[in-house]
Amino acid sequence: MSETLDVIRGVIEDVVGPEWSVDRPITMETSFGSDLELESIEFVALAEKLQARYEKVDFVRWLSEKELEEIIELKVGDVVAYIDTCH
Amino acid sequence: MPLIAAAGRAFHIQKLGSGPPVVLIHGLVIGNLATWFFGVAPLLARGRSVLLYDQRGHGLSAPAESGFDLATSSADLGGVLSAVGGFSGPVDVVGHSYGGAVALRFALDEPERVRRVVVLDAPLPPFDPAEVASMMKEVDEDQMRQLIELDHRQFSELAARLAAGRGRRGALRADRARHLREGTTVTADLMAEAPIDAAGLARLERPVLCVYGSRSPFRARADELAAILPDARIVELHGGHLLPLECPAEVVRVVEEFLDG
Repeated sequence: MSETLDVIRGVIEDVVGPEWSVDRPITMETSFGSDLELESIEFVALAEKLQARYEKVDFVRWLSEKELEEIIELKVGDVVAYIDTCH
Repeated sequence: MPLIAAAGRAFHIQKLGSGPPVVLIHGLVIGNLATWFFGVAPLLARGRSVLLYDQRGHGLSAPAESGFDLATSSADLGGVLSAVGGFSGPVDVVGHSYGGAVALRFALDEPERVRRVVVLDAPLPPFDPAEVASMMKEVDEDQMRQLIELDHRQFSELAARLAAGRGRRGALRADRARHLREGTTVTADLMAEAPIDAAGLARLERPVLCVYGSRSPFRARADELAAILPDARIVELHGGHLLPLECPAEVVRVVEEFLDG
């Protein structure tokens, strides 16, 4: 699980970009919407990068089936758990 | 991230589902592929092959300094369709806001590549300077929700007041809108757009569905289109301009009904 968390941390930093360096450590409790303030197009980018990293995980579909409000509430731990259940 | 080369530049695309092909075109400035990704696209993808793309200078497509006119946007769409497998034959074309004007222009430019057209709350050229000014502003998500049911006058006032947005998301959007406004020809291109080709539209042998919000500033455009087009129908949905975000299920219901009809 910690390995998955490390991968997701890297992907988040990649999506968010150096000019928006995250000033708090990314944990399982970090929320994509309220903590990281990801924009909707950044969620799409995140999904695509995770999809490329984990071929077995249909992350794009998983995310696209959620309501925007659900996505805003998503925590890093939710994504880690989803990825780990696919393996 | 899925990028394809078309018209000499990189476009970010997404494909969902399988079935008859339909391409979705977002609006300018506040639009990108995410307009569809979390609502309309997955619902339509239950029975169709859905293609989404970020228009030039938008979303995750390559930055662009110019080419925000309907002729170039239509050519971009043609290039994207040619570059993506399964979309080279006649496709259904759905456009929101400026994307709706692109859809109509593409149907005029390349009718043989279009099966049916859906225009979602689109302005029509020549674009109203006040409308363009509103589009150049930026707002955060809560404020966008508020915009949905306001009339045009209120839209402009609110958009101006809240242009800066708040937090990281608001700042990003404000930066992007500022870049489009100050670093590209988008405003000039919109203002220079020629009036819509009414004679061409009058000869357009393609069914067109005009879906407009009951409280949208563009509502009257549906009637203008229906008066020109030989085969048009109007559906009015309760709401404002941002129908794909406000009521994606309703939008999909009327679009599917039209495309299947």
